[in-house]
Formats: sequence, structure tokens, C-alpha cells
Amino acid sequence: MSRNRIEFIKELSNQLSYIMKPNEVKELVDYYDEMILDLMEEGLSEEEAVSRLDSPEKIKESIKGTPLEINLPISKKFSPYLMALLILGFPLWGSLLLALALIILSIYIVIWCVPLTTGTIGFAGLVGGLVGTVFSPLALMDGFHIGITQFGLGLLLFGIGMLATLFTVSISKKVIVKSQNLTNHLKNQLLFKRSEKR
Amino acid sequence: MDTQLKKGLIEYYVLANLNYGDSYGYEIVRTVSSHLPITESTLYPILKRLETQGKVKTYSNEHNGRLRKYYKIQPNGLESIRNFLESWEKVEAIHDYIKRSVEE
Amino acid sequence: MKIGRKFLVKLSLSFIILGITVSFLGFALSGFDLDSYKPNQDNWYRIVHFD
Repeated sequence: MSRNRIEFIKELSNQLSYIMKPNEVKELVDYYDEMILDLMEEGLSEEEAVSRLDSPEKIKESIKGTPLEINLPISKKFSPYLMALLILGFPLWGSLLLALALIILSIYIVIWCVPLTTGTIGFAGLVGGLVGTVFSPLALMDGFHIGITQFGLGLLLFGIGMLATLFTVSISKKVIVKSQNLTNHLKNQLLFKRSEKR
Repeated sequence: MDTQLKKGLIEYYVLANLNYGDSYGYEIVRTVSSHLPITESTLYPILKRLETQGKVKTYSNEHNGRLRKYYKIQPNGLESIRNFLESWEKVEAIHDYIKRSVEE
Repeated sequence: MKIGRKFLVKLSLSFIILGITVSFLGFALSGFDLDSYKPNQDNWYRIVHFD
């Protein structure tokens, strides 16, 4: 497959944009662009020059293995003043962090509140209704009308429980998806910010 | 030649090449490849590393209506070449040792 | 036969309607008198009696 220069550069920057910072990509693309132009000056055609170089896929693979930037250890060390400030400031940022964590926790709780409530109603309804219905003959001893009423209420409760359980099952799926989305969103936000700072 | 050895040599070859005079990517590839097999893709990380280590400096110059990136050796890089040459005695000693092991 | 969601919903709704009907019947039997639901101490199975 023969590419022309522009195609090669487009493809290369596409491939690299996933694994490198934009300024690194630009530098590398410039390097290969210069190579192509120099090869063309040597008398090669555009396609020949491009095909002399490795394919963008191959370049990407070889870049993956070699760290281009050597991080200096200085930037990673905290200065003692900063450390002291962080420790002294703990009451401030600690409580803010705690508040943030609790807010996130409460969002989760609020989300899960609905299925929890309906689930509880469902469980209570199913068990209570079943027990009430099954043992209603015993209530007949207190009087015929009491027995019948208990039987009826038991059935009603069982019906409500069943409905609530069905509702719980169907809503749980949605809630699971929702909280997964939320978790992913939070994770992306935190990790992205961290990886940008590096 | 052993690839590990080759990798180590290329770095000094490039530095020496630049010590002969400033050069640009394509020319370096052409010069190096007369002695050591090298591709554009293998040269790039080496140049990049030399640059981050402060052994070479880059500057752009106009050439045929476009900018070309030139590499210039720094005192740091020259020092690196000197160190390499000094350590050659040790390399020779090792070479002798390895050689004797085969001869005996 | 596979029990579908719709069937279960219908079943639970019918349970609810049946329950309401039956408990209405029971309430009707009591003569719509809430007092008749008060615990009766005089039942034969009551061992302990309070005065």
C-alpha cells in the first residue's frame, strides 16, 4: 500500500495521538516529514520516499517500547515546606476531601434508595402476605369476619409485594447501569486530571 | 553484530558524526548506516534522548523554503565521547578475556 | 411454559384486586364495625384473662 506524504503524516499523527502528548506528536511528525522531503530531494518520488520509511503502525509500536522523555526526579520530590504545609493544612483539605467523599457516597445512596425501598416493600409484602394468608384460618377463631379480612388483606399485601419486587428487579438493572456510568465518569475525571499533571 | 552492542555504539557514532559538524536527520541516517544498520525510526529515540540529556542542541534552519532541524553537539556530548574512548581500554581487556576463553 | 413479566404483573394485580374484594367482604361481615376487630379476651384459647 503506497501512501503519499500527507496521508502518511495524517495516519502517523492519528496513531500517535493516543499514546503521546500533542507536542511530542508534532515533533515526531516533523521529524518524519523532514525525512520524506529530504528523501524526495535525493530524487525519490513521494510514494517511494514514504515507502522507504516504516509504516505509521510500526512506528507507533516502536515508540511504545521506548520512553522518549526521561523524567527528572526533581519534579517528583515534594519540598519540605510543601510537605509541612500539606500536613498543617490537613484540617482544611482533609475535611473538604471528606465532604466530597460523603457527597459522592450520598449520591450513590440516593440512587440506590429507590430499589432499596421497593425491594424492602416487596420482601415485606411477599413474606407478610404469605404468612397472613396461610395463617388466616387461625384468625377465624377470633371471629369469622376477622379471618376473612385477614385473608383478604394477606392477598392484597402479597400482590403489592409481588408488584414491588417486579418493579425492583426492573429498576435495579437501570440503577446498576446508572451507578456504573457515575463511577466511570468520576474515575475518568480524577484519572484524567492526574495523568495530565503526571 | 550483537544488537545491544550496536545500540550502544550508535549513540557514540551519532555524537562523533555531529562533532565533525552539525547535521540533520536524514544526513545522520545516511552517515550512520554506512557502518551500522539504522533506520529513521531507530534514530529518532536516540536523538531525542541525547537532546534531553543535553548532549546535543537543536536549531532550525531554512532549506529550500522549509525548515530543517539541525543537531549541534554540546560540551556534554563531547565529554561523553571522551568517556567512551577512555573506557575502551577496559573494553579491550574484556575482549582479551573473552578471546582467551575460546582459544584455550 | 415460560412465565413472562406481563403474566407476573397481571397475577400480582389480580392478587391485589382479589385481596381488596375479600377484605371488603370480611369488613362487611363485621357489619362495618371497627370495634369488632378489637382483641377478644373471652376466646376459648385465651389462658390468661385480664379484668
